[in-house]
Amino acid sequence: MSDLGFSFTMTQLWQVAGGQIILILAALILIFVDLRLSTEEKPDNVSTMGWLTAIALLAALGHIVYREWPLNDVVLMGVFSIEKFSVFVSVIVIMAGLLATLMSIGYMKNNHLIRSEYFIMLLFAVYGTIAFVQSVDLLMMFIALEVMSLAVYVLAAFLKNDRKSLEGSLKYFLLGSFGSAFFLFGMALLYGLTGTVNITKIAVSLSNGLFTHPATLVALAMIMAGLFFKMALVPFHMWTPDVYEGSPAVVTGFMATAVKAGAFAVFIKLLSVAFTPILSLSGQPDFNSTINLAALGAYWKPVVWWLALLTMFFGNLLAVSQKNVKRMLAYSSIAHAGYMALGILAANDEGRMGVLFYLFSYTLMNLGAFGVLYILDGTERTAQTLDDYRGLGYKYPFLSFLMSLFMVAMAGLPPTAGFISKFYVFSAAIKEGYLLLAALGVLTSVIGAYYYLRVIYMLYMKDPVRDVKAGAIAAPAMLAIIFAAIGVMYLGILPEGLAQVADAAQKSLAMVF
Amino acid sequence: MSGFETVFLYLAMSLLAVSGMLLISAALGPFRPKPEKIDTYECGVPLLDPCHKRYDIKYYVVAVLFLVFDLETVLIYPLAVRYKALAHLGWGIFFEVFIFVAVLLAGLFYAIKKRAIEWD
Repeated sequence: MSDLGFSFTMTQLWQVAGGQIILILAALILIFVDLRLSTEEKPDNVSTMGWLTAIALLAALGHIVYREWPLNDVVLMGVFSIEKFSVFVSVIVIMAGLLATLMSIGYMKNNHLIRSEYFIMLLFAVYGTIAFVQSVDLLMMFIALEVMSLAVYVLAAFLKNDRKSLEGSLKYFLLGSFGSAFFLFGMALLYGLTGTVNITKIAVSLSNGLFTHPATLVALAMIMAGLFFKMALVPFHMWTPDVYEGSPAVVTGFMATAVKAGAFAVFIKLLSVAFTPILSLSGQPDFNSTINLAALGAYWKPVVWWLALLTMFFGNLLAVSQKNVKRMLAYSSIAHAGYMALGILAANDEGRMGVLFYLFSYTLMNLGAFGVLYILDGTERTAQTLDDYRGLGYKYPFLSFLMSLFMVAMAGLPPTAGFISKFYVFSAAIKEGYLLLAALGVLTSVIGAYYYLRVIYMLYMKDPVRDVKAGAIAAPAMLAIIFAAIGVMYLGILPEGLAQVADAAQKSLAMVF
Repeated sequence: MSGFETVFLYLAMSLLAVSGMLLISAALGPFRPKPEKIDTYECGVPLLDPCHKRYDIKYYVVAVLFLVFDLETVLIYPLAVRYKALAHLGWGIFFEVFIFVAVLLAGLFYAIKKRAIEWD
């Protein structure tokens, strides 16, 4: 509960908020760079903007890793918390942003898009997600959520002359606003009950008796519903396939990783700080009574149990019948959210660590897959169906190899990161006694293996029915895809390093306050 | 209880008032439908052209530009009211306002440079 006063110097400010400051300053400066460049519209300007964005993201990444990782504090008048957990998720988000930026340079070229506001929007989206994850103040959380969402709505509609892109974006906007409204209403109820917007104070206030109040349950339900929209768990997933299919391929990759990582991280943070007894572990007398909050588990755990089950089943089953690879990956991202929900349900150290690890490796394999997808596609929506993929393994051996690697990783086969992350999440769930759910989860991942491996089957074992011409391969995009591929392999073979970091990250949640 | 009963009372009263008004006017009022009554303006003058028209997207840009100034007002007013109480904390808060305005100004400059207020 430190630094609730107003006194901080510029150095301190830089120390705790440097990553955010870099991102927002870079976005503001890039607006003017864009104005300067866009006097003559040349494709080269887009690459320039892309590289500048990548540099800004790298700078923010460096700052967050080197300065903010050792910190353990609630800063800036109790609005943001800088601890290993938020730093870890920020790294995932920036990594997703960086990979998406590098791929976008190639994507914009292949699709003849010469509007570089794209990168500014991407920076704002990354900034919003990071602020979302770092905030411990409900108001800031909501503002950051909107910064993130609005930027992503614009990105989703970036193919201005494409009906599907516009349709997807509008759907996303309407349903996303609906979800945000739920979130906001939950917050308003919590504020009305406890008189504070700080989530630790909410925990203390709730545990002193309010946790039995029915309005608390309504608030919890509403906040959960709002976040489930962003996480795309099953009854709240309706927007996902259309939006993911309609948006530009790289943006879809970014949405499915960064936005999802942000929503999952905030869900874990809110749940474990404000609604579970984790704070009583910190040893501070203020929080001893938060042990009472264990009673709330009886309400949210069955909900997450059913949602995880439904998400795993529907995500995987509906993906099987998809003909379009991009749409199939949309359903697959729903299914992956179900596996991650399993880790949240476990609510133990292994579970939280598993979710963080899963988010990290999922970011690599999903963005990698979307990177290959956009290159094989040429211009958006020319070759996205499974039939288009027939026989491409001999025409584009390297791209097909990478695609196969990412598919194997998503299917969860060893020796890839996908296997290890599923292993962590399932073992955490089994440890908490959710044996049936874990068994059903494994069953659904067998269904998953069918449609992931079908892509590889199409690539290598079928004869082409039509001539597919892949787009140009831009060097930065290839760099990003190869980075993702190496990451997926590395984490599959040597996961301990990242697992320890993720474990330190999730432990910091209890210790920061 | 924690003061929420007033909220629920308010919701119940507003529901009751609205449904009451609708029901009573439906029960007591005469019902004589005429095609003129579903016109856009029920004043006897025939419509010149259909009301589903295309209108210039520039109005949208004006709305977006208005948002810049609107936000400025909404967030600076509360601060101005509370400023005396916060003034002893130093100049930081004073300059924070300028940072906020600068961020909004960037958006305004962008819109102007992109020729949002040139009406051809």
